[in-house]
Order: sequence, then C-alpha cells, then structure tokens
Amino acid sequence: MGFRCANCGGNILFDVDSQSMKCQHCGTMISPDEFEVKNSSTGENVPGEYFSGPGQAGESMTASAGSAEGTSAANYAGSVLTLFTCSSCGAELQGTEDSQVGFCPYCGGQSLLKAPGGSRAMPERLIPFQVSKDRCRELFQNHTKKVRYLPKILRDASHLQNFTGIYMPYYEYDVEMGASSIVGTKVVESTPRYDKINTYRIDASVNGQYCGVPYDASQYYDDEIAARILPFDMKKERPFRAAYLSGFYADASSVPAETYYRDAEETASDDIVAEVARKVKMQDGITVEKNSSHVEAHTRSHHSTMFPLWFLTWRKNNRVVYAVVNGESGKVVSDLPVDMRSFSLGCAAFAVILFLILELLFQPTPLITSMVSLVAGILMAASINSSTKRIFEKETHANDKGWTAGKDPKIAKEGSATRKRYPTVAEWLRKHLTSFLFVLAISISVLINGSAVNLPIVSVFIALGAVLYLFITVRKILGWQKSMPQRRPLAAILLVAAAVIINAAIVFISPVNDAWYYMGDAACILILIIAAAIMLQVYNISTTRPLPRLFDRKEVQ
Amino acid sequence: MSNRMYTLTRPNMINRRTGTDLLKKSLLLVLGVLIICTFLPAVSVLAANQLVVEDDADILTPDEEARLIRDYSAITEYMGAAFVTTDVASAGTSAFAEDYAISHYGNSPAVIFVIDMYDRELYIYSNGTALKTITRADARAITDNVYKSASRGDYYECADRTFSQILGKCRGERLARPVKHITNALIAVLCGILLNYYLTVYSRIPDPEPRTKGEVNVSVTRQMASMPGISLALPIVLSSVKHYKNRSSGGSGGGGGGHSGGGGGHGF
Repeated sequence: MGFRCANCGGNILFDVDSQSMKCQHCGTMISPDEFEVKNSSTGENVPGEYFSGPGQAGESMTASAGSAEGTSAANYAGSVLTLFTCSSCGAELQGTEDSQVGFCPYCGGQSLLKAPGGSRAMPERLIPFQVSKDRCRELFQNHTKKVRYLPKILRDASHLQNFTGIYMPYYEYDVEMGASSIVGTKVVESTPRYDKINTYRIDASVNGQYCGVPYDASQYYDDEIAARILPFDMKKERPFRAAYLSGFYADASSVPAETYYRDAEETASDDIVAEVARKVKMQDGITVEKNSSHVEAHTRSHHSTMFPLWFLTWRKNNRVVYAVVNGESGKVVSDLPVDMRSFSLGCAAFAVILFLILELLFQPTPLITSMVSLVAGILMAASINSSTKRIFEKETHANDKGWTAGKDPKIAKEGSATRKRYPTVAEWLRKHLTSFLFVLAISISVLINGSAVNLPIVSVFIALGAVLYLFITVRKILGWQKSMPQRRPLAAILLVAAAVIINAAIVFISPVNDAWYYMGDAACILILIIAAAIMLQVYNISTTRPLPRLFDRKEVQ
Repeated sequence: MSNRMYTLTRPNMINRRTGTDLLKKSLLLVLGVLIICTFLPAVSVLAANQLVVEDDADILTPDEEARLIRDYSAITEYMGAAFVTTDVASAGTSAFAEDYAISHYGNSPAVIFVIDMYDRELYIYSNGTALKTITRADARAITDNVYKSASRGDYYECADRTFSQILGKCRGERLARPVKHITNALIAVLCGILLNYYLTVYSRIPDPEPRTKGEVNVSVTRQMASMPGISLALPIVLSSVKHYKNRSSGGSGGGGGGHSGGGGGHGF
C-alpha cells in the first residue's frame, strides 16, 4: 500500500522541490498536512477522497500525542507504511511500497523484502527532505572533485544513482543550565623582563535552557557519521506526517534516550563556555581556560525526531563504504578510501621529482641515510598505529555509544562512555616519547659538541627512540589484533619494526665499512617501501566499515 | 742562512774599495733573507708549481712521494694542492686541514688532502674558488670512493686515486657516484610514498564542526529557544603572577668572515 492520487489513482510521492505531495502520473500537488489530515481522520486511504480544504494541521497531530487525532495519525502511519527487512544484513526499514527501488543503506544490498509485522514507533517531529536526489548527487560530485586518488566507482554517475533517501531517528535533548565556574587569564603588564598575568573568576549567569542538542537514536547508525553530518536547522522541523516518508525509508529508534544525557550536558556546557569565552575576550581581553571552566547542566527532557539523509553504500571485500549527504543542508560526509593504482602513479611522480632534487642538492652519507630511514620508520609506525586504532574502534564499535547502549541497557543508564578523560602521566609520556627523545638527543649533542649538532649522537638517540616506539606500537597492535579479523596491520608494523631494528643495529655498531651501512640502509628502505604499500591497505581498511549484521535488532519503544 | 751564503762568497774577491758597499749590500741581503724567511711558510707553497707532500706520519716511501708529485703537480695549474699526513692528536681532522690551508695558502685557492692516522680519518679540504671546483659533496664522494684503500693500509693507492679524481674534476670530468644515485633513488621512492601518503591522508581529515547550529545569544532562538542569554558580571581577580622571561633572549651579533672553506671526509 502507498499513497494514491485522488484524481487518477497514481502514486503520490513527496516532492522535495515543491515540498508537496506530487502525483507521479497527473502532477497533482497537495500539502502533506492536508493530505494526511483527511486520510488519517477517516482511517482510510481511498483514491479521490483526500481533504482539499484549508490546512488543519495542528500540533496535536503527532504519533505519540495520545489524543484521538494522534492515535488515528499513528494508525494511519501504520496503515500506509510497510516494514522492509534486508535479507543481507537484517536491517529493518519502513517505507512505502514505492521506496522499494532503493538499496539498503546499511549494507548496500539490493534485497529489501517486505516483512511481516506492523510499523515501528514514529517520532514526534521530522525535518522533511530539502535536498533532492539530483542535487544530492551534484553536491557529492562537488565534494569529491578535489579528492585525490578516489576510487573510480565513487565518481561513476551510474553508481551515484544508488543514493537512497532515509529518515534517521535522532533524539533532541533539552538541557537546563545552572551555576558556572569559569576561569580566565590576561596579561596585564608586559615588560622585557616579565609578563604579569592575572587569573580571573568570571561570574557568568547562564540560567536557562539549552534546547535541541541532537544525538542519533538508531543503534546501527554509526555515531561518528551521525555527529559529523550535523548540524540540522531545527527551524525546518515539522510535526511528523507519514506522507513525508513517501518515496523514502525510515529507520526506527533503537537506543534508549538516556544514553546521551551526559553527552548532551557536556555539549551544552562546552558551547556555553565557548560563548562566554568569546564575549569575555571581546569585552575584557580575558582568555578563558576552557579545560578549567564548566557550566552545570542537567538534561530535563528529550523528544524524538527524524532527520533526512541521503545514503550511498558501496560494498567491497566484505567492507562497506558510506557516503552520506545531509538532506537538509546538503553537507557531505563520506568515507574516502584510496585507489591503489592512481596512488602508486602519484608516488612515482613524487619520487621522480624528489630524486632530481636530491641529485642536485644532496650527497647522502651512510649516517644521514640511516637517520632518514629511522625517521620514516617512526612516521610509518605512527600512521599504522593510528589506522589500526580506527579499525579496532570500528570493528568493536568502541566509540559507538549507541551500539553499545543498544546491546547493554546498563551502559545506557550510566551514559558515561564518552566522558572526557585526561591522559595519565604514563600515557602522556608514551605519546610523546619520540619527540622527547629527539629533543633530548639534540640537547645532549649540543652540550657535548658546543653549538653544533653532533649527528652520530643524534642518530643513536633517534635509533633508541625508534626501537622503543616500535616496541610500544607492536604491543598495542597485538592487543587490538585479538578483536580484529584483519592481519594486515600486524604485518605492516612487523615489517617496519624489522627495518628499524636493522637500521638501529647499524647505527649502534657504526661499522667503518660503508658497504654495511649502505646495504643495511638499502634493505631497510626496501622493507619500508613494502611496508608502506601494506600501510596504505591498512589505511583503506580504516576508512571502511565492517559489513553490518543486524539480525538481532531490538526496538526501543 | 745568511751565514751560509756569506761562506759561499770567496774571501779573495773582497777589496778594500768596495768593502763598505759590499757590507751594505750584505746587510740588505741578510735583511731581505730574514724577511723572506719570516714569510716563508705563507709564500713557499704559493710559489711552488708542484704538489706539496708533507708525510709527517711517514706512511709513504720517498719513491711514492716522488710519483705523487710527478703525476699530480698538474693540479697546481688550477689551485694549490697538498697531501698531508699526520699521526698526532689534533682538534679533529677537518680542523687540522682547515688550519693547514689557512696557514699555508691564506685566501688563495687550494685543496688539501689529509690522512689523519691518529683519528683514522681521511679529509679533503678546499677553500676560496677551489671550493667551487671541489665542493663538499665532491670531497665526500671522493673520500667515499677511496676510503677502502686506506682501510687496507694502501695509502699510496688512496692518495693516488684521490688526486686522480681531484685532477679529473679540475679538468671538468664528472665524479663516479654510484652509491649516491642508488641511495638517492631509494630515499626518493620512500620519501615520495610517505609524502604522497601524508598529503592524501591529511587532505581527507574533515574540519570539525559544531554539533548544534544555533548560537548562544539572546537574539538567536533557533535552537536555544529558552536561552535567556548570558549576563557577565565584572571579573574577579583570583591571582596575579609575574612570569619572568628568558634573559638570554637578547644578544649581539657581529664578527666577520674573510675565509671560506669546507670539505668532506671519511673514517677508515
């Protein structure tokens, strides 16, 4: 069952450009409010009997209002919306029969089947699509125009036809603000010898409510994308009408609302502190220390809503790549993997240019070549570490609070998974170990050698730093590896470790015969080149996501 | 030296009439010789048109020294040239070579090849316009090419190959740098990949954006519908601290050049 035209019985879909219901056959247009008021009050969906009088849309016309009209609206939504399930990943989506042309936004599968069962709970409000599919494709093309080494398929016009419109459930939290504790500093006197700095307590009265902090309500909709695709303009929010869903899909809430209470409070507090900082800087020239400032915040209420998104999903090697376009503002958020072939050509071009420059300006010495390899090893280890961490987080949904809360309601009640935490001294030292050793090396070298930098001493410290950093990184990746099916990160980091150990050994032994140096350097660089190729594959895995398995889906009422 | 010259003059040729003149001439001659002797270190090499060999470490035979002088004196057509060996402690081979060049050649172009047996290091130093012919990179490349001879103890071959390459460079020939090309190629490939990788990765990092679209302001009610705004009272001073600046930040510059030189070397 779908929406039918009163004049000709043709399909009626929501037309983004006119923001009206439009008959695909005869072109008749009618406001979604008018269309639905008539049909929901009669409880029927009969061709030729839509309400054509002045709009009677009221605030009580919501699915959860509990009034007679609300109940009938909910019933109406249930009668016109169909539940679909993806046979590939188990995702459940609601839509009209006309929505079947689309693809599953979660896994990119094309087998959305009608499922038995009624419709899911609908929200109180929604923002209708403001960006049409054509405009969405255009925006995505503009967004990716300057992205280098993008896989060709993401520029392929026929592939971009697969953008699917979906309403994603969000919660909007209203946060009541309380007492503030804001501290700032200002240089009040500056002489060549000293700066006199005053620390101020800023008495900011911020009583009131911070309304509409949005967090996604679908367990299977990635929190990272959900946050990056924001903001939406709440002024365009409307009371929920099933008619808006005509031609699109809709996901239902599956995360308890309490999940994001504390996050909403932090967001509100941070925003207020930022605003106070801006005002105080402008008025008194005082710089607010944001880390030491806080405004009390308590989430008072929330309501459910739906935001429009265009989803494009590309499946590759059991991974999915998401491209999402904000259906209200047109903002684009996309996973951007790298095309290996065009990247290799780019590397070749860079290498030729660098070779010519080096030939003109640089006479390599064994020690400098070793240092280049060691520094390259450290940089590569840092990149592999960073990419592997992202893979681990995606595989385990470590940063996806909605996912975790959907699985374990206790976490939802605690609502503290993403609280800010300052690093411990040990963590800080680990993070800055390499820089610390490098600065130490330069300092000691200068102390020993007077004003000049002593390269052999610096190289020994760099080698020491590289070996330690690699040791820490290999340990971390081995720990993450237990929760990941991918083996490439481990292969890449072990290769880098091998190269660094060879090079460090040469630096420590410091053989007189250059042949040892150069052979070691050559072996090290060749290993690093192989590792770099795997490092790119690891980066590509980190930009994609595991294929979702949503068969154990639960719905939150 | 003056005494020696005096004894070379036969006594029967002295007559009384010219005795006073001769005495004056002799005094002038002695004075001249003394002046020459005073500046001898500075001008003796400059005046030479052959390779100077000072084998203080005694690592070459007289025959080998003679062969080096015979084969490579042609370098002096382009610049002064010296081969120096030492086996005493110094401030470093490069400093030793530089001191030698300054004391013997001043600002005149010269190339000095030093074998330092104490520090086990080879060093080629060139100065003035010679630095344009034998650059630091050239010096490094030449010592790279010959250090193995020194490691084997074949110092004549080491010096011979060194001056052969220096002479070739003076005549406009190119130095063989196989290691340089291979190493530069490998470094270029590795750095090319890393540079491209980091540019690609960092160009894909999205700019952070606020979660909400509204602003905390009385006049803006888009998202903070009931936000009454923020009223700020006069700030209260909690503390006042003086942060003293680093005293070494000032300073003076100065000094002057007048001598430029450089080189490259290699342990053996």
